[in-house]
Amino acid sequence: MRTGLLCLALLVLSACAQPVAPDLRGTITRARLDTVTTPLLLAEIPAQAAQATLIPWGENVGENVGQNVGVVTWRTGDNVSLAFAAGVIVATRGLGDDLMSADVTGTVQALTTGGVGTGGVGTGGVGTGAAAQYPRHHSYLDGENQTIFRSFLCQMGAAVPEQINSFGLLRDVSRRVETCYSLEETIENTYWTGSDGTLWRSRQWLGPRLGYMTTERLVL
Amino acid sequence: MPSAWMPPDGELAFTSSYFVNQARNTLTFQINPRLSGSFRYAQLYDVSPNADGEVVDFRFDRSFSLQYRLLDEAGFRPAVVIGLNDFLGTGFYRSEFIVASRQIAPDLRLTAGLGWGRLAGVGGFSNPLSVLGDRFGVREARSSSQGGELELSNIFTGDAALFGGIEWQATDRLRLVAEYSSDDYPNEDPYTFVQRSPVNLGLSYDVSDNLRLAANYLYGSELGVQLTYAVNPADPPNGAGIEAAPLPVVRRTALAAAQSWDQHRADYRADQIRADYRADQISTSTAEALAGQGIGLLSLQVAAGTARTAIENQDYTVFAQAVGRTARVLTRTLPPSVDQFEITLVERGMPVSVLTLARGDVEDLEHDLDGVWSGLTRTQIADAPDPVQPAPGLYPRLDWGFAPYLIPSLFDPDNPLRADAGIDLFAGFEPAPGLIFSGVLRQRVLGNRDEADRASTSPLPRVRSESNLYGAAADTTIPRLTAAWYFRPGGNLFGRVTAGYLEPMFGGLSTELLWRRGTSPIALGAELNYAVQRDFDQLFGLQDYDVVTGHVSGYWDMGNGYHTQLDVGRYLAGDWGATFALDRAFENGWRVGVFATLTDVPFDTFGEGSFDKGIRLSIPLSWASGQATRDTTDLVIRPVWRDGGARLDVDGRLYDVIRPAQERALADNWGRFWR
Repeated sequence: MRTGLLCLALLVLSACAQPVAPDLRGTITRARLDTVTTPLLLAEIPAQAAQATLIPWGENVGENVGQNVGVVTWRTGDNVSLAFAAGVIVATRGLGDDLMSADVTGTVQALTTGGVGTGGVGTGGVGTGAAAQYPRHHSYLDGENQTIFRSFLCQMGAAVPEQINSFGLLRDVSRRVETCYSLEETIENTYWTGSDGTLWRSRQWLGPRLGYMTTERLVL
Repeated sequence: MPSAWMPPDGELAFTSSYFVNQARNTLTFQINPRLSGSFRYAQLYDVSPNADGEVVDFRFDRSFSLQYRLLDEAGFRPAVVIGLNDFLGTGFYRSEFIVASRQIAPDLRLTAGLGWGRLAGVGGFSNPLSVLGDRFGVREARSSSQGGELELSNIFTGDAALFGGIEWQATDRLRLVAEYSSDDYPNEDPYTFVQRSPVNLGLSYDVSDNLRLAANYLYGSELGVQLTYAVNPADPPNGAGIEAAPLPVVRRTALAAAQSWDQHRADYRADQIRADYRADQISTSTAEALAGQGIGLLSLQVAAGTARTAIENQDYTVFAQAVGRTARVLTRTLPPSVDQFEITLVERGMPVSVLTLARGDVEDLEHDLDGVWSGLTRTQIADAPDPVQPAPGLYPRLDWGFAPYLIPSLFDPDNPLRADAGIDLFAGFEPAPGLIFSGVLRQRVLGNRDEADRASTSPLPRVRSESNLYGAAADTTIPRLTAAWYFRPGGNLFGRVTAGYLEPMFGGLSTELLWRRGTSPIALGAELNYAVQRDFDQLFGLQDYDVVTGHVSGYWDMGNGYHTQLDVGRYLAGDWGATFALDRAFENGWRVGVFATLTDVPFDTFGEGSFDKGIRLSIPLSWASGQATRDTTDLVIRPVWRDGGARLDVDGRLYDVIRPAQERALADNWGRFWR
């Protein structure tokens, strides 16, 4: 009788146990990626235990993001969207405390002009040893639909050559860390760019509640 | 023990506590950063309503309280709060106090205060305020037994007593309290509740951000427990929402290239951007795309570079979001020759406002940091009094469905919490915009509201005091079956005529006219009704009682979310008077408010409670779930529901129908345009 009850209890407990969400990253293999011909992006947000693959949804090329860099919007299967300007996150939708819009012209410029370590002597003129500081602005909505801004003063660190392993494929990239300061927090965004400027991997801060998001370009 | 600490502005909390023979349920709302109001329902067993008098089995007591923070804590100065407990009730808890609290160490708070009335039971001494006048020395007993009368001449009179305590925040979640109480519970049966000492000890534990549990050891003799659930409407659980992401804006240059996209952009084609623009196809593709966004397209006309659309917002609590989503769809489905979008918002067949946007602005501002402010300044919003010309084939239209229902019934001394639950079948038929035939067939599945058998003793026409008979008579009822016409008599004017079985207890004819300019904080309305009382079985029968009622109403949006309303006129029992209501409306759709009606019915004739008053709450489902829906849960809590000051409960009163679609509400919530 006692063992019967014990077995019943264990059965009930095991049935009540939460099924663990399968790790998306674990299901991706190089062989499967090689069969995909459309662009594909992997994004992970640890604070929400969320992972998803995204496909392109739209592109808006205009002067508002500076240097005629287009903003590309990507979408997940469950209708969350992420918008990037040259790989730098500028907006999210469907995550709750979404990043509504962002001014990342300084970041994009710092990533594309290379700065210290590339371009050689004479590039940029004054103080090639010191990274220039530039502002960065984010906007969010509070609980009553009013826009709140968070502003940072950022500087981009030097490019460090690195090799990353993207599901079995080794890539030579250069890693740059952007440090941004505000009165409330200090954030560090990391970008791994290829020699042609493609952002292969990144770790970017979305907001105080969402925290950091890592992205990885799976298929170009 | 009261303290000078107050919850954050806007917080709504429900507290339920139990100890020796009494249960207290309290709803508390932080009306503004300094003012807090509560409604308490106490169930007391084995009490003597007159202290030291006879003990009765039970007494259920409703009371209102207010607290106001006079001084903030700063430097060496403590926070000081003044409070009135049970100033509008039967007097069980009637007391006033002034209390000061100060944090004396990072996790230690000290409180000390002076109480009058019920809070001067232990260690009372003669009133220090007697220096201001002799009348402060003696506290008179309440002269009314009905409750509901505001006897402010009695406040801060009589003996006073000291109380105080210390609170220690032991960990993030655990707090310990020791207090010296000046309340000696004069009404409790001294045999069931023995107070050994005026010192109380308690501990509370924060299970989550919203839930707190507490246990107390009171007066050296009894154990009590308490549960508090708090929400702050300004802090939604899902942030700005987790609804599906909006369609990206498509630039006209991208449209032109649509036909020559390479394989990599094959997915764009899958989103149905059309490069061919036959007139009939534009309307169909736009209607389909908008339907996918929860927006109904009523008409679309393209002429001379301007596209004029009329839409119905089906899913979005905030209308600005429906406008933004419509603009995004239009950039994808309209030919490049269209430069300007005119979007008219239609509610119940009435066009309310028209917004004019330049397509170029929509394209440029999608990802602009200041897209909200820039977009709002470049948008023109105007009144739209001209009737909608719907696309052919849309009308007549029929809509029907099933929905569950739950109706609570509170505060009957026989059983303070009753409820009925079941299924509603609703249907609506619209032959033309603004003309709506609708009804609800209700089937009760389970419930105990039919157990309420207290007969009404009201000398007035029994317009509301027999609500229990309406709840008991039949399992299948028709709460509402009406023909309604909504129309625009002119600029800034809105009109409504409703006829039929208007609400569960009354049928008849209801007419209303409202004037509200989109930017104005003031609105004026007038309503004239002819009401006939329905049979208790809520089917097609009518009783003999009929009455002409009507009101003139003034609405004032005070700003910062506070709204007041004053209605003056004649009520269902034939009495004349006025209703005053004060609401705090949050931009996300939450509303918390109080109302009170005073009429020419004398307090004694009205009966218990003296006059009609209550609290109303409206909670948007989109706030709780984060999904796009306009559904709300509406609650009205009246301590007593009697026949004086009773107003017809007709559906579709204009102010709440049109206000969210007018300029003020659109501009205040423009942050959601880009969602």
